[in-house]
Amino acid sequence: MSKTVIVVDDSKLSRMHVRGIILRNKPDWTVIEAANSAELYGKLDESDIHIAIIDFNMPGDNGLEAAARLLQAKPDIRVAIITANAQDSVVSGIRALGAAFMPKPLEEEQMARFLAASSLPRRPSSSDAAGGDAG
Amino acid sequence: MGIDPNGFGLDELERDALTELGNIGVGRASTALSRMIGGPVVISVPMVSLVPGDRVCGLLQSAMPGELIAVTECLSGAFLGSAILLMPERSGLPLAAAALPPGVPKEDAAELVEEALAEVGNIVLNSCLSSMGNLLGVAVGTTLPQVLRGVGDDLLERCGVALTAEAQAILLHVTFRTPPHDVEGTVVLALDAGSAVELKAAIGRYIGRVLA
Repeated sequence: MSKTVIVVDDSKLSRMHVRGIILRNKPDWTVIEAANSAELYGKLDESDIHIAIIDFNMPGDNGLEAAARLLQAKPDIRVAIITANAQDSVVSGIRALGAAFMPKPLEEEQMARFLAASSLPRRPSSSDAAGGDAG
Repeated sequence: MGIDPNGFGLDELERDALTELGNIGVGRASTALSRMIGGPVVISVPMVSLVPGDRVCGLLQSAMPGELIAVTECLSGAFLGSAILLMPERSGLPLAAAALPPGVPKEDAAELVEEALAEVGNIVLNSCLSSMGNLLGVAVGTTLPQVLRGVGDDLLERCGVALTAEAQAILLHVTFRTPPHDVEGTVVLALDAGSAVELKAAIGRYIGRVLA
């Protein structure tokens, strides 16, 4: 089934990069973009978003804050957070949200796996034991 | 910072790419620093400005006035110039203390401050430069770190920054904080004019690969 993905990143080049990866792997999906978290919140009700791929280090709310707010409003959205900042505190924050951690520079294969997994029905919480909920 | 970076003209996408490279570099550096001090490091969104050498000092002084500590390394390989981790003098001790292994006797700690700062600078600069170099597909070499203290033009000159209008500096402004220690810092890459042209070409190739 075709999905809609929102790419949230303050770098236009990065958005173009992620868009390219998505469309190479899922040519029939729809990609929309937001340049920061405020734009993301503004676009939430505009379309039926299934997946959000969010940069961590952005002006305004960072990717973790944006993902938390997004998941509060739309718990069914699958979220990946992209960051070169792999500090324990950041990675555990991503895991606690049940989001996927995607290190920068991006590897297309890893993104492709995330996209493939995100198009399947959500699995029960077996792999998210630490998060305390089904994520 | 409202600076028109037209020493050698980068278009919007090239600036974006350079900012993103800086972002990745500093993200990696903060990961390494966090491991070293055993606690979280909060970094700001990096701002990249390209400025002529004769404006570097003024800009840095408005961002970070007063006495500074610089950990500096000379660049070799694809780019010539200097890489510098700058911090206010008051950040030096708490940063060094956080970086020293626990259990270092107080009497030794003072002696080890310079060494700890050199090591922090080395790790921050190299994780930043190596990830930028890898993405750009160029080899960036660095010399051993040197710890210098001072202010303004004099400090920058001793760091090997060319302060002429022809030289280019990439100011990678990012503040990092290490709560509960009140530490902040900025990374400065100062390239000579020839290297700036080299950098522009490498950024162009990088964009080509990303969008391929």
